[in-house]
Amino acid sequence: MLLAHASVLTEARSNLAALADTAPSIDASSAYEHVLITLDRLHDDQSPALNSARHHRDREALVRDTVIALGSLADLGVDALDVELLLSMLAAARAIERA
Amino acid sequence: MYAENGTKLRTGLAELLRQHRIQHRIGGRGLYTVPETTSRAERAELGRLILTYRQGVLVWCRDTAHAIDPYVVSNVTHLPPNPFVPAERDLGPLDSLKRALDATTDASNAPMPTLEDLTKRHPLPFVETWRHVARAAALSEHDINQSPGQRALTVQQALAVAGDIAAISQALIVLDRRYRNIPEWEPLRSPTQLGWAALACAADANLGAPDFSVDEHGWRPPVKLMRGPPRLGLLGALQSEHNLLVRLGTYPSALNLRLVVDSQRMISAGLADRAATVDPRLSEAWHRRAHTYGLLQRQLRNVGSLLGKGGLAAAEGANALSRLRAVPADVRPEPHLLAAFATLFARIDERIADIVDDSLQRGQLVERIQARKLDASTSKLIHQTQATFIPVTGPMATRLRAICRHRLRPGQSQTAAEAAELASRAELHAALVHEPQRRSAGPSMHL
Repeated sequence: MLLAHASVLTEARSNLAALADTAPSIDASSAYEHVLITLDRLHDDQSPALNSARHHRDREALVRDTVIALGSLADLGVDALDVELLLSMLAAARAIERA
Repeated sequence: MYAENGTKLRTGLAELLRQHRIQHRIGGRGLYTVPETTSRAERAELGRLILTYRQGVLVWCRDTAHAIDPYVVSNVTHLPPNPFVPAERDLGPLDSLKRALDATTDASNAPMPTLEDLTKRHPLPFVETWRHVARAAALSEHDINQSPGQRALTVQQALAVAGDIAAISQALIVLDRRYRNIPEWEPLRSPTQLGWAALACAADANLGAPDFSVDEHGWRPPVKLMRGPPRLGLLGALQSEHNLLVRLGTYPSALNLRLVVDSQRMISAGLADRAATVDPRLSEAWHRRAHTYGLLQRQLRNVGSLLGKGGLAAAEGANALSRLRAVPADVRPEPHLLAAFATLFARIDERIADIVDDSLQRGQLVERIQARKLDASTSKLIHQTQATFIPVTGPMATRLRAICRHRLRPGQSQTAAEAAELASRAELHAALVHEPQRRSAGPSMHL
């Protein structure tokens, strides 16, 4: 894995972990957790560790940054269909959170 | 399981130790008011049957003493002060007991009990008790042995078994002396040597703190999957939880473990809400369980693995969650169903704690490392990450083990079964030294 890919993956993972930790309901937390697990599965569980220094941001900014990070994975060799699936799961998690 | 068979072995021997006037019990001449009901030849035949049962117990003692030998470190072993000087191989108390048991078993001419001897009910209660003891010894052979796949014993667990063997050997010596008037009875060879060796072994075992969790070792009936169509309502979720426990028999990969943990978190929270009106204490416990799995989930995000499967376990967890969600929220769960969930949850918690503990110990779970920042000072055009995982040590391992020890396996209260197992040990020791009620002056207890 190239460093640029690892860096984007770290950001996406850290944001998803922060979203899961701060979710208002356990259902939403689980939904974000599943996005994170699916992301790791796409990378054969070879992902880098979380970066816990970036957690203190508002949720809208976290979601926005996560969407950008996940979208940029397509440019780094991840299948575009898998990226769409991740974005769809993220949108579903967001919907559960707002419900 | 050793708990079950060991308890039967000890309680049976304790019962036999409390029985005196043996001739009377096998139909011989007792008090002047009790007529003789069996002939001498019949009593000799009964004696031969009891000898085969005794041989079964002796062989169990001998084989188990050999099986635990690799794990036993005597409490009276003196190590040399210089660690570079090898310790002298003194014969420990267990070695002496092994030798004495070898000699006694080899010198005995009695055959091992046949399957018919072990399974056919005997009309005399006295012989029937012996049959139960011999059967427990036969069944216990596959509880503690050196066959592949058996979990290794700790030193304290092995010492607990050594104490059991010593007590049972002592019981056989006491009974042997009491039965010497049975026609054609074959006494034990050199019982004094066996008795002293057993005494030394028992004293050695009790110098430390024997660990009676050894009772959990041994063969258990295999748990089967509940196949077939999903049951209706909450029973369907219970069916999947049961299957999940069975599927967790194999070690899951880190990803699948995270899925299982997530499913348990969600199921606990969902059931806690439903149980709030039926059993508030259970509801509170399940909210705590959901929180525990949330904590475990956070720690596992930074853990990966290169080995393990567990896809079927993750699927069963997802099944359980989807079946629980399909049940309308206003359905009031029955108390016995909640109790079944509580039992399964306890076993799943224990299994997951075992998986995490063992995986950490074996290096199956590894810790992710942070991605390095781009280093512009080097001339390399392509920057790759050098390593992905490192062994789980330090704070991460401490946190995971703390969750397992303090939350998934909290101080388990002693169950009634565990109390019975411990009581059976005390009962056997009490029976070894008990004295019958005396009718008149004079010794009647033979040791």
